[in-house]
Amino acid sequence: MLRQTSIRTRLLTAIFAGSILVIFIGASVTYALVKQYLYAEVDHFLRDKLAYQQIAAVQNGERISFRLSEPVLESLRNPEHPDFFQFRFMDGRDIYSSAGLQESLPLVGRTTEDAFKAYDCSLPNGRRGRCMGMVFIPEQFNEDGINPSAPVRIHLVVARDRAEIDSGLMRLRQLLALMGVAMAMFSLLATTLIVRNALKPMGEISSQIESTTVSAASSKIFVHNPPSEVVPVIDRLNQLLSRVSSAIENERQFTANAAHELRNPLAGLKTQLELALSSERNAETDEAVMSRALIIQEQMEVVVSNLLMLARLDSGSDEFEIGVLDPAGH
Amino acid sequence: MRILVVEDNVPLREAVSERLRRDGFAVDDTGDGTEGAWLAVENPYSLIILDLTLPGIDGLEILRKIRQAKKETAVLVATARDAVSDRVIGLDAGADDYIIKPYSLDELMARARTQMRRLHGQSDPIIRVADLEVDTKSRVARRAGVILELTAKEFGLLELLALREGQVVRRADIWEQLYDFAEETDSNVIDVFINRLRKKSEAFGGERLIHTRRGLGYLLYDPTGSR
Repeated sequence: MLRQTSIRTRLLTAIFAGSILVIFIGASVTYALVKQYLYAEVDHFLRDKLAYQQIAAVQNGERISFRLSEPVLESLRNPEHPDFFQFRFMDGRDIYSSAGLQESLPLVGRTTEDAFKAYDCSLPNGRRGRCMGMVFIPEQFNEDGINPSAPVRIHLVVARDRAEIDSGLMRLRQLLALMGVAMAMFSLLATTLIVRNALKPMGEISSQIESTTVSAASSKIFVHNPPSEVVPVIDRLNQLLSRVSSAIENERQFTANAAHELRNPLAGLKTQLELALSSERNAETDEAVMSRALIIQEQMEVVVSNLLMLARLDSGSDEFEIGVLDPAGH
Repeated sequence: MRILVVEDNVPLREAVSERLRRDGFAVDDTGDGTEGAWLAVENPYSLIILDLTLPGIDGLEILRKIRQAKKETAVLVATARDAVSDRVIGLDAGADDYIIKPYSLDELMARARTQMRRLHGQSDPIIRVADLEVDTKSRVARRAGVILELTAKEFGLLELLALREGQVVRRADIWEQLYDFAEETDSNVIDVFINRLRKKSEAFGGERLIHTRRGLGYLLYDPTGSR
């Protein structure tokens, strides 16, 4: 047995599923864009730090000095600070690291292609962060303006704790999920109302057809302000009702005609018999009445045959040929 | 009383006409609409029993012609068309009554008698003049309670005079109402019937009720003025 699904259920399912998909995609895109923007901000911050430190490093002989600003110094000294710096020689020896670093930062940005490229990384404090690295040569400087030693290549990696951003992103995720659920509920409610309103004309048509009786088949289906898609359906139904009404009227007319055709000989038969019964009777009068009754019966037989032929022609189960008759009989 | 039957169904027409004749009416009949229309307009029928579906002129058209000719003849439409709309159309066209086929002859006769009584302003089926009673329903006449042995024609004549009580009925009118086209009669036959009626109605005594107005005709009335 086929399970019949109503148009309302199908429309509700389709529109609701579509709404959920749109909400999900919208929320995902919003989240992705915000995340990308925040990470870009962090990356931009890291890139600025790298650039600044590159300018701020000076090599004088064997001595390399860094001109660090107070905020940077604070970040280097404070183990709880979210920003981390690690200066290393190319052979891996540590020059200077932030106080909070117990372990080394990842070796990123050691090649030209890898320089200034941001990575997600695990920070020594166990938290997630963004890191970026580069290799630079400090400004060469001495009192004569000539550096007697060979330039030293310094590998600098900066990192920033992502905890604050991730926490913000988590709140954003929760907010988007909450909004998504609210929008889905609203969408379900709105869809239900819209679908119910859209299918209202179908309900009206259905109830009007249900209340249409055989005697009132000529009545028309009328729906106030129907949607354009339903108008052809109403037109076709009204045409169908009109044809049904016409067929019923033909049937009634045929029945009335049949009754009329049979009533005449029946009336003849009845009055003849009544007259005979109220008259003086003998063998001769009885025979005359019976003869007349037989003639009437034959007339009725002809009427019934003609009616049956008409019925067959009406139903299309019989055929007749139309030809030209020669009045001269040739 | 003379009646026209317009009916194209031969056995039915024959049965109705025979029954009417047996009850003392003069009957003309036809199965053709055109002939029926002509007969109805040209003759003084007391009643016309009219079928609607006819060859030639349709029954409704005949009805309209009768009314257009200002004829006061009662018209009883006898047809197989039983729809309310058909009855309304028939009555609106001027029919006095409507009977549906197949009908009983007794019912037809009762309706016919009612229409003829109504035509002469009589509502009681028994017409009383002094101690004479003319029962139009059972086709019997009594004088002082004694049944008069009358033929159908004699009863027809008495009924005609009784329906027009106190009015002179011309010989020509009597002749027209008692005889149809098919009957060959002598003009003196009216006098013969009048004499027979007088003899039979006065056989047991009582005032003369049928009077002659020389050069005019006959009338039935009670000279004592009692009823």
